[in-house]
Amino acid sequence: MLTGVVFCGGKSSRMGSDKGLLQKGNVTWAELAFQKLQCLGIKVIISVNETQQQTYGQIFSKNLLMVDKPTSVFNLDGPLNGLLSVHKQLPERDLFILACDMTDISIPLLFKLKDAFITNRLKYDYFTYVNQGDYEPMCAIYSSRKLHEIYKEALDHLLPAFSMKYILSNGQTLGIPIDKSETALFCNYNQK
Amino acid sequence: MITPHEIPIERLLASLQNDKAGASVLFVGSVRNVNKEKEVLWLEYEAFKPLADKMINKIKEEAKSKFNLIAAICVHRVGKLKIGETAVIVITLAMHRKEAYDANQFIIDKVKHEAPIWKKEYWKDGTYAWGHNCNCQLPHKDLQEYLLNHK
Repeated sequence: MLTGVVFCGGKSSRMGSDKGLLQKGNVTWAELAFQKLQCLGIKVIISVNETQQQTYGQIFSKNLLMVDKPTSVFNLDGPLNGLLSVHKQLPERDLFILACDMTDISIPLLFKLKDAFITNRLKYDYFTYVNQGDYEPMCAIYSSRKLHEIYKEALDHLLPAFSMKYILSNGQTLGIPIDKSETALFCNYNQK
Repeated sequence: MITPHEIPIERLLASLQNDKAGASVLFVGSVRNVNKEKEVLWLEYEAFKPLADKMINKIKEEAKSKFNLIAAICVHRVGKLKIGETAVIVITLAMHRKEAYDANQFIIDKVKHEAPIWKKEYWKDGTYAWGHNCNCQLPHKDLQEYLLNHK
């Protein structure tokens, strides 16, 4: 079963503020990503760190918030810590990750990824787009079975690298090439 | 079918002329200025076109066979639409009015519930929300099954 996860837990040091709380129109980036994933007909939760819990609790119902484990648990930081924290709490769920700062991503593109997952879920561990030769780890589906392996390696501090891209490069990943015309839709607004 | 262009209703109606048809029913879905007691400024539709086209065709074929239709057309627009603009049309032709009416409702209900089309409502208070095409807000229940069975 697929669960959507809006990633809001980034430090946003370059933006100088919490990205998920920035607004497009009068809607926060976190809410926008949440709405889009919900359009896929899947359950959606919000991944936040401890310091964000109270603020996001004013926007979303508290049972939708999933708080990152302290970085010391896996000795990991950043999105990978967020990903494994969600997996720890939803171990049976395949996770559809969407970063809150990918505000231009279209619902049809998200749908296409879900479609690829439904069709090929037994053949691949991960599903994502390939943008100019690189995987898009923050708009990707991670299978629960593979996350389980990664989780164990992380607990034993056996992960040789700590990035989401490393994970995607070292599993069976279905990478869907994107058209040149779609490149702009994958923009991460992480700089002012 | 899905189109980003204005729907040429009269031309489509004319294209379906058939001497066997005793009844033609036209449904026009337009953008209205209020939803859930909030004032709507405009709508934006998005669709996953390859699958939406396929599903609309399948729904039409199902309706033709179920209601013994002579012909059917369904066109849904995507992109930004202003209040009053036509978002979707369904035309059904049958020998008798009952079949034409029933088939028309069958097609629009199924397209709204099942085809991968989403709408974004922009409200007067400056907020907006993405959601399913149909206001019932039910998830696309049949879509997952469709994806699995039609590859």
